[in-house]
Amino acid sequence: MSAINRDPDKAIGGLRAALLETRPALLRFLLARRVPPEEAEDILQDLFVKLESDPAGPVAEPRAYLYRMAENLLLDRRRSAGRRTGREEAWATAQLGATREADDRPSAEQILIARERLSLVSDALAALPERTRLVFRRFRIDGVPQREIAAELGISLSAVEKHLQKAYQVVVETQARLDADVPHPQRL
Amino acid sequence: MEQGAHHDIQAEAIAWHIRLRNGGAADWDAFVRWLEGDPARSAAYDAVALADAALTPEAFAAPAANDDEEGRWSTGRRWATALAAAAALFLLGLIAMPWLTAGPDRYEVATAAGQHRTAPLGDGSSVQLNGATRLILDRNDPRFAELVAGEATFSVRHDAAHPFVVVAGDHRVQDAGTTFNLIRDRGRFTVAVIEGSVVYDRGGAAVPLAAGQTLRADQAGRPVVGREDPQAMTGWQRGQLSYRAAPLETVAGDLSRSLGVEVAIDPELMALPFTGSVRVDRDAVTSLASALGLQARRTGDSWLIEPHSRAPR
Repeated sequence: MSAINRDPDKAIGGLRAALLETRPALLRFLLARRVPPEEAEDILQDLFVKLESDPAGPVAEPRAYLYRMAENLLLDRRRSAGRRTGREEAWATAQLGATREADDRPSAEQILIARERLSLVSDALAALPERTRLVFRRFRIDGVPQREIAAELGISLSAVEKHLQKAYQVVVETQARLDADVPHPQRL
Repeated sequence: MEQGAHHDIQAEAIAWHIRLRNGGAADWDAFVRWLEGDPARSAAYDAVALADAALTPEAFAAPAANDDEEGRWSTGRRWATALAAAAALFLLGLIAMPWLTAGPDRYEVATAAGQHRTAPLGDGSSVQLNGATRLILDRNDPRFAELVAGEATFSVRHDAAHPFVVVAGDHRVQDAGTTFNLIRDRGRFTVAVIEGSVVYDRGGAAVPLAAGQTLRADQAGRPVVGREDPQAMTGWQRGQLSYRAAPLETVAGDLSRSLGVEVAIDPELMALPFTGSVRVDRDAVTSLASALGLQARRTGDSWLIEPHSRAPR
């Protein structure tokens, strides 16, 4: 079989070694992302644990991969900031039981707000020129690299980038407007 | 406030966000230097990254389709509930959105979250779609499918002269006489072979997979080959999801698709292994959480599974 099927322990060992080597750069990155020093250490710790608990195949660019992981962990924290108090619990594997919690389904109002948010964003996207929307969809939803999108549509790489820049501007500005309209208690 | 300066930083942050999506180590190093150049840049980047993260595939749905659904549900009271639901299901299943498909003969088959649907592929082959799934088929080429998002099980008649190919981004799966299940969700791509075999390909590295084998690849492109009970692979079709030491993040993704609501996991719990089965019903998320000694909280239109908070804000 191929290299992909090789011993996961070896692959993860490689990533772990890469983490030790990349650690100072990742720390510098997290500090540049305005993470307080103690939290930066926590994130690196999480990263290490994640590598241990999620055996993986070989990675083409371990350094870029680790940056991405650190960024994702950081964003997850920013999203759920303030909703957590500790992380010292050790969570064991559990079987699903029959216990049920009290019903806390969202109110009709919450559902309406969520729907409205979704429809505002989708209206904003729908208002984009068709070509821009297509490029954005291929990039963001279908995960097609820019170079391939350029080839598909017969346009230059910089044209693809311009379409993406425009689409993201709309997304960021719509989101900013929504956040200003509906104060969100979970925002950092 | 200097409106212009803010705008420039935002445009730069967006450019970085785009560049980093497929960025190499050198891009990230350069990104760090950009961040260090001005303390305001990190927050601008947050705004971009978080806005992007909040963007769901539903936001891309054609507005006409939305309006149709909206109208259907608001007048729904006049109809027997079951009838309205059946009609909506039928309509959603048949919505075709030609502007996002590549060729003139391509069309889209889609399901809303929580719905299942079987579509014929011609020559006796068929595909079963799980909820929140979008599939592009070709009227002229019954041996092609593109999984745009979601989960689907393909039951394919083998024809060595015309192999059946499914693409999903730059992942490519070619059958060799087969039933196989594919998941494409938030950067995760999973192939599970139920019968026969397939060849997985990404960027020219072909990996043959036999029945009972799985292959998972994440956004960074790390493919991992594993093993799973073929029965469990299509549990979603029976409303039953089974796991052996699966990361909680995976369980959440599967539940999101089946229930039609976003199920998020506290980042510290994403790798928590879960063994057991989950029945897909309205109590699925709270049952899962309480079985693990966690709590499930509804925020807006999504669920968050997190540790019990000791000091609520």
